[in-house]
Amino acid sequence: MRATVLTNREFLPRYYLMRLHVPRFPPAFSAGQFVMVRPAAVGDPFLPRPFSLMRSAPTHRAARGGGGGRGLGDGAEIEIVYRALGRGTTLLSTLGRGSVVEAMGPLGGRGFRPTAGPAILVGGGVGIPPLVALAESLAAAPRRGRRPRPPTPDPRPQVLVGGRTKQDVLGVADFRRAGCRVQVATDDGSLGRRGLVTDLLETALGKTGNGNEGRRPTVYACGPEGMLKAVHRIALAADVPCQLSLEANMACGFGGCMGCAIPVRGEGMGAYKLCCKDGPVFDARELRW
Amino acid sequence: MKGARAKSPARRAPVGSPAGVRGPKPPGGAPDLRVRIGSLELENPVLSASGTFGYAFEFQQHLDLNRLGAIVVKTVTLKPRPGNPPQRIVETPAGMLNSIGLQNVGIDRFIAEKLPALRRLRPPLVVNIAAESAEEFCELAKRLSDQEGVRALELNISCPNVAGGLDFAIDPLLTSRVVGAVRRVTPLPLIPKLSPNVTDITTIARAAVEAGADALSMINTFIALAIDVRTRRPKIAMGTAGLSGPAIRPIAVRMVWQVARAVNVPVIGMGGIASVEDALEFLIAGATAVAVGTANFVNPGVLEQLVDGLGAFVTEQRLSSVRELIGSVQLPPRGQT
Repeated sequence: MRATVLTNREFLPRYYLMRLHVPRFPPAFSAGQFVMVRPAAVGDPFLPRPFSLMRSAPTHRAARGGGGGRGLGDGAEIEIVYRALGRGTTLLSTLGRGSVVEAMGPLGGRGFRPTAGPAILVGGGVGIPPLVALAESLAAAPRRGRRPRPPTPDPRPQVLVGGRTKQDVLGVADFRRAGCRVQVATDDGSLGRRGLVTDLLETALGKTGNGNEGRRPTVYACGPEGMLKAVHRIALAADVPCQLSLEANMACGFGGCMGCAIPVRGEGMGAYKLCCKDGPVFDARELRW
Repeated sequence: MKGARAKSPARRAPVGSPAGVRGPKPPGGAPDLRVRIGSLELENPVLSASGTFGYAFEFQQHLDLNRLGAIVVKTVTLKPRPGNPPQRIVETPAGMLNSIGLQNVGIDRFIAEKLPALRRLRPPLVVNIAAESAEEFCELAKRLSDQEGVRALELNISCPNVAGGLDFAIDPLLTSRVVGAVRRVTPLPLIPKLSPNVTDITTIARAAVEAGADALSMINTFIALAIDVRTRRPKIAMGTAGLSGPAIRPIAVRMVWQVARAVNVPVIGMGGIASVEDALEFLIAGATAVAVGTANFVNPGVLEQLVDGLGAFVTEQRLSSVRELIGSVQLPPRGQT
């Protein structure tokens, strides 16, 4: 569908927040779901790119006010974050307000599935936006009364954000606004603790793990593959549930190309699931990493 | 010497030409888009290309499947195949490389789980099969010949991405052997899919037709290689991969043109078709029908847009039917090219 660029702002060097108006969108999406976006007029780059959804809001007045169902799903403003790195994203970064792009979504068969226990969110770089979506949905859930408040003394999600430098640290303010406790780690120590975000995770699990069954946290992670592999290893070793939002080269985003294979456990020579249709969020235990 | 000859001398009435279509013209002055592929009468010449359209239903929210000329589904093999490890795809200029490795659920689950829904669709269903030997091809063909709703078999003898060599179509003798063997075990129309990775595709085409092919699908992807300069490794895990997309279209059009002049069976043209004009190029070059592959990923509604667009072109050009276009390319006389 044709989408219109509302804002496209570089908020950190090379990191852009893009807000799009899309003519059709469901009332809500599940954190981890994504949209495929490409500039409308250009055939090169040829393929659209997947971007995790950070926020969506229905544009219809009635829907915004929460009154009546009329207009829900009519259209929406959606937010994505990207890093201008390759040809496709660099081209996206040149688009101004009013530019038209092709957008398809929300896509993704399985987003994050929040559990009742304490939550630890771990992310880095452009893996942060789906975690912001998750944090905001966790914060919103009890208010909407759809999900009982988790029976814990401190339900505030803990968020661990990593980046190479402070110029790669995203989402801290968004997480705080959603009521999360935030810790930061950077490779060079320019913000937060010097080191890896996975060091923070090991510390956090050391504190909360402790065989205290009722307090067993769930880890939700999204970020660079190296980071996710470390999170995967740490979570399995600590025996805590862990959901990972993965990324893969994909041509279509809806199961047509079968390009975005994720190795999963299966009998014999193993098997693959599709990042787009079966994910992008996978349980740590099902991955063949 | 533009227009020196109205028609290419090598052009014969292809099997898909007007004589091949029976029945009344479409009602209400709708453009006549009907073509014939072997014993199949198609409402229009727009097909999905195998391996880019899943089992069709992945696309149903983007288009009306019943408007397609025929539906060609993803390759089925005797046993389930997990497919190749990632990375499986990478974008290249005006196209992409893929090495999916024929991931599929195998013939048993295809028949049990996919076929019941597919056979309820209106367009003829063409099942694409691949195998490691002529015997396996025959077994698949026999199994599918018994199934209601399977209207033709596309023989994938040209997959570039499977270790152990499923690339029969690089050799006329191997092509002939596979097509001939399958011909003897099934009455279904056989449509071998040819490889472009050959010196002279007309040799392979002739071998396939002589062995009993009812039509030819052409072309499969070009074997290609993309390298990550930082790691100095191929960008695709398996190394080489198949190139598709608009980048290959002019070569595909040339090959379709060559083969359509060389054989007397219909050619289903494919390779980088993304627009109505692209499809028209193939028809005019000699294809009786066209299939769309990679463009389905970028624009999942493209097949239906092509059906509409071809109809509009036939109307605008005041043609009696789309069949007037087939092989109508006007070439300068020999020696003046």
